[in-house]
Amino acid sequence: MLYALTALVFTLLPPTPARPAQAAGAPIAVEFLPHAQLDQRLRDLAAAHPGRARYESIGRSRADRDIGCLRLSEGEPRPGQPAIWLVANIEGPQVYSSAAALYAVESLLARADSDAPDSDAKVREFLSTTTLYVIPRAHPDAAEARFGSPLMEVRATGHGIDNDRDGRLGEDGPSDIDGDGIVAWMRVPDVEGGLMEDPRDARALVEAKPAQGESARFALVRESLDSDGDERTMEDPRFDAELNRNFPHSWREHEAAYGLFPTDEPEARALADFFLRHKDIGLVVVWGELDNVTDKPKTVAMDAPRVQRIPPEGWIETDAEILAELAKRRLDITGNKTKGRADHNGSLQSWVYNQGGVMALSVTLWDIPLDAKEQAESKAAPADPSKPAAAPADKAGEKKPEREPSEEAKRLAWLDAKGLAERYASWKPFEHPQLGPVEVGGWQPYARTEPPTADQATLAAKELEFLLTLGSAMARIDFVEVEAKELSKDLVELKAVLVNPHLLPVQCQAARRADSTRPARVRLVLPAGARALVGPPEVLVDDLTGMGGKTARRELRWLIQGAPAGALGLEADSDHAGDAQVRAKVIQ
Amino acid sequence: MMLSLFLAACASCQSAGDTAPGGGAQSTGFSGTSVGVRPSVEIAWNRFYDDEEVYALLDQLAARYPGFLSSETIGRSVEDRPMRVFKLTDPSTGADTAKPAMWIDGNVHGNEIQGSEAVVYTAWYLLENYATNPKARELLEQSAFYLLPMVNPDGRASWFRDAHNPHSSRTGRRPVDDDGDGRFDEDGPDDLDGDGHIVTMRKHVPGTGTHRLNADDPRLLEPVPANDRGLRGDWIFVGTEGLDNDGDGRINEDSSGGYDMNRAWPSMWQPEHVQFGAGNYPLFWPETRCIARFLLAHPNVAGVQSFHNNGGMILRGPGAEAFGEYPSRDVAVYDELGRDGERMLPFYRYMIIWRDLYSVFGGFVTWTYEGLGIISFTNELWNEDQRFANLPGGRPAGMGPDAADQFFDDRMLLGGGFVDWHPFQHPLYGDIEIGGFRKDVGRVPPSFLIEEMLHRNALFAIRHAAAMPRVVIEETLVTDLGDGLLAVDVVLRNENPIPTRTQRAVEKRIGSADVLSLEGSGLQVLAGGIRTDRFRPELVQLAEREPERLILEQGVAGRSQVRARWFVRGKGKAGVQFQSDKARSVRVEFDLGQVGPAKQ
Ligand SMILES: [Zn+2]
Repeated sequence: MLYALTALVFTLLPPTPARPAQAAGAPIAVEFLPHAQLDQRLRDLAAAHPGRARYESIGRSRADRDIGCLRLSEGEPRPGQPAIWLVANIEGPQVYSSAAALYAVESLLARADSDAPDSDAKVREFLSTTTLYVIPRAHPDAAEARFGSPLMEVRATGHGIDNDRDGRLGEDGPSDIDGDGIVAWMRVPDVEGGLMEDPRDARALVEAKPAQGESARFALVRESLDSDGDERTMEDPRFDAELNRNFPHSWREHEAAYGLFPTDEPEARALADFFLRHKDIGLVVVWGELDNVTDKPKTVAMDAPRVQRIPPEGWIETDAEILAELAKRRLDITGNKTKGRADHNGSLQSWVYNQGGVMALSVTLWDIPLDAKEQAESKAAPADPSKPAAAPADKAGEKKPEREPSEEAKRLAWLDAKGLAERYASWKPFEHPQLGPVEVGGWQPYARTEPPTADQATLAAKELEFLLTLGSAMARIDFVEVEAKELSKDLVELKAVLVNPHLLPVQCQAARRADSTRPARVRLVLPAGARALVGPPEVLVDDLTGMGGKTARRELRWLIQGAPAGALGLEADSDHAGDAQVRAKVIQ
Repeated sequence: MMLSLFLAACASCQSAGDTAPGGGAQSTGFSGTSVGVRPSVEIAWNRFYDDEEVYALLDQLAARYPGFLSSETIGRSVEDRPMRVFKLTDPSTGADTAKPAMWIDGNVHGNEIQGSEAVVYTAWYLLENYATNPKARELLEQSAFYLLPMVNPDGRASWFRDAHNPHSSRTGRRPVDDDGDGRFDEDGPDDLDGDGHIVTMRKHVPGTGTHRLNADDPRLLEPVPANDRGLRGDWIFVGTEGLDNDGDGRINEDSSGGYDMNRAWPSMWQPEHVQFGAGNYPLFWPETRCIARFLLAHPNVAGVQSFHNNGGMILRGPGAEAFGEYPSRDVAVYDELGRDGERMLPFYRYMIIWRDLYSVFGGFVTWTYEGLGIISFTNELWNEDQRFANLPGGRPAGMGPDAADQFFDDRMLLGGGFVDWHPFQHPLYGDIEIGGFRKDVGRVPPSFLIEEMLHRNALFAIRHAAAMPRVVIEETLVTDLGDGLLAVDVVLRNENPIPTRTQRAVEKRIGSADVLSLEGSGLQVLAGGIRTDRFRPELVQLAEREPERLILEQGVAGRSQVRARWFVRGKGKAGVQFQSDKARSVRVEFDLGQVGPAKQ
């Protein structure tokens, strides 16, 4: 069924436009902190805001680092109070997402304080109705490379295998071969390497198309040695398993990046157990590489036939409509159209949604924009006169003018325009000890995951404004039309309707398919001596579907003996849609 | 005959010393054939044992055979019972980890109890026979056994301790909210009459029922054939003995636990709504995770046997149709063992899980094969047809299955397995009758048939263990090629049917490849590789690098040879060594100056 979204009325606050994060008081900076400092900051924040923030280590990483989680809530959350779980930096290179998450936490705590100059009633309203769990850095071991030497991006920190089958484990991984403190890329002369210089921008490498008379000249490899002398580099790194491929949904066995078995990685198990322990989580937001808000996920019908018992892959249609509405609200507030990668096998998000039955928003905060309009919209940074302008196209460019500018060339043009050309090092000749003459350069670590310094706080602030609007989207149950009518002496008919007037469902379609979350539970409250002649003392309600309450109603009815109409009450509870208590209104 | 065996046993004891099984003054030896020869540890094989008794039996064996049997606690169950793996091997020929090992477990399903006794029996039989039986001795010298008698000790403990029916206590004991009402395990079956048995309920409803009593045997309910006059039986079958404990209008809908630890393993694992019992993620329960960790830490495990009940099956994967079929070379090994099993286990059939039984995702033996590359079987112990031996259809002519059950119980157990129907006042159903077979009828054999079941299944596992790879360096040959250039030929042979690397392991690059290396202080290895033709020495797949260390990704196939040839210069002693995850390492030394085949 399709819903006319525009016709819906939402009961709580409508989305509001972004507000600058720090109007007064000490401005909150976006900070990139190594694990020890980040973890200490989270503990300090909890200590400084005892009524609002609580620190918990949800587990320890493979290298024995705490995975810190901050729970924000105005006091102790009520039973079933809806919670949002924000997970950032689940992929190693996405360190900016952890800085943005820390920024969000600090900003919320500053604004929640009613005495502070930043005081913000909207934040207090959010925190007194919604719990926010924030794990700024889910993958501390990988992120630590952002603060180490040599500087490099690390994705895998888990179970390593003998990729090259030489009986030695992990002897050939990334390495700073030229000793400049950075692990970047090597452009290796190789006619079978598949790549050639981009005719539009000789710095960039593009795929050569032999059918169009182009020929490959290079292979592109991470900066690395051939430690085992097998004439290959990078073929057997120490670690292979990536955290965000180590979850159970559609996990791929015997593929190195997926790990030994789902949840073998201690971080994956800690995250999974945290989710399972916190039944109050009604929405998951992940800031990282994956994206289901800019590029919509594939959808499937709820009743799509299973193949050998396994349902087809994708978001179930009704859930996808809710996701689309959330994505639209987010775009209105943030204007952020960054595209990430489509969700993949073994991710936290795919497990949480498909098996855990809780919707997960995957948001990529930033990448170098490709779209010309977005490129133009980016605030022009003052050009750095010390940096050379974009390299002129070489001879090949004149030869093949019909080639479209490659994505790489567009990204480089953007870097040039923003004065950030140092994020892509020009290729420097280097005598590789095993491979002979190569060139070292290309993308520098974190060049594509960290927005320009000037944009870092704005981007985080807008994303936080969107998060704040999610409080009013969470499912919350309520009773309406609770009426008790005396049919005769000593016999009362009790009617009630349980509703969820919000965007998110009490149980999404995936939850109902997986039977993985608890339905709302309604209990009859009777005075002593009374009994229900018709109707069970307890009703489980699994169809409060959200989308603003249009169909999210369940009518309930009892016949009661032995109690006056005015003495009847109802209670309802749920895992992540709050609770409700009501006394029946007596009608004639 | 008895006397001579006795003497032979004692003679071997003395030579083997005090620590050898069968040694010591009280030893009598046990051949497994002779009536009246006492085993040194007597175990009554005509009954079953609870969780503590099972460990006690193994501890008794370990005390009697120190060094040969030792235990390691690899984890704890949900209810904090120890998960104990017993390691069995002859310590004088090396540590267990240096030998191919046979993993044998039982009782993952708490009610499928006889698997544990089959595990104990395996250890007992091998130990009791070590001193007198050369095959048993060789097996313990050449290989190791990792024996986990109970995958689900909590389920077993409950099955023995609590009132159950034959099918309950399959699960582990972690509470699960089966009915989604926020309460855990609050509405299981109830022993209404307090007799220690969970049986069934039936109610007399004259003229409005679906069933009637059998005319010959009123203990039996039979459905009334449908006709156009609607229901006209006098009885209804109400279900398993129980109450609506949580008042939700349903009976027995949230019993203790509610999952299946044989659906929890990583290969092709699927979530709960696809595969009942799977858990929140693979290896969710502590029992399963500690076993997985143990197996991953023991790449020497080269055979897996899991004991369940019942139905008389020797099962192998795939568990799900979507997998397709296993690679053909591995299927050939499975078929050889499985067909032998059908001969060793009359009433058992060799079957493929998804095709011949039902589709299962995340099963244990499918993981140990698909994930770990180990030839693995599940046996379903006990087939009710055994009660009537070779009668066609497994029961007396003209007798339905229910009547046959009653007949067997009446005649062979004097009615000891049946709780006769008796009245009970049920709070919801009113006047009913309670009756039916006890928990130890149906899925487990009666006392007098237990030992045969244990023996045949243990010996099938032993037969599997004896098939694990055993590699010898059959020949080394030095040939003078002139100018001081020598060729060194080495022939490896795997004497047993199971390859050092299954085809699955090769295809998925599971574990380490085998390595064949040549070294010597006065030796320079110029080139080397695997010969591809037995008669043409010039056909050699030369190694790309490190010729002194040949990587055998394919391993050594079952009952076959691998030939290597090296080109070397040098003199003096040289050594050739073979290393494998799943076979004992072997090393042979020879003299480069001695041209021609070396004496082994
Ligand atoms: Zn079973």
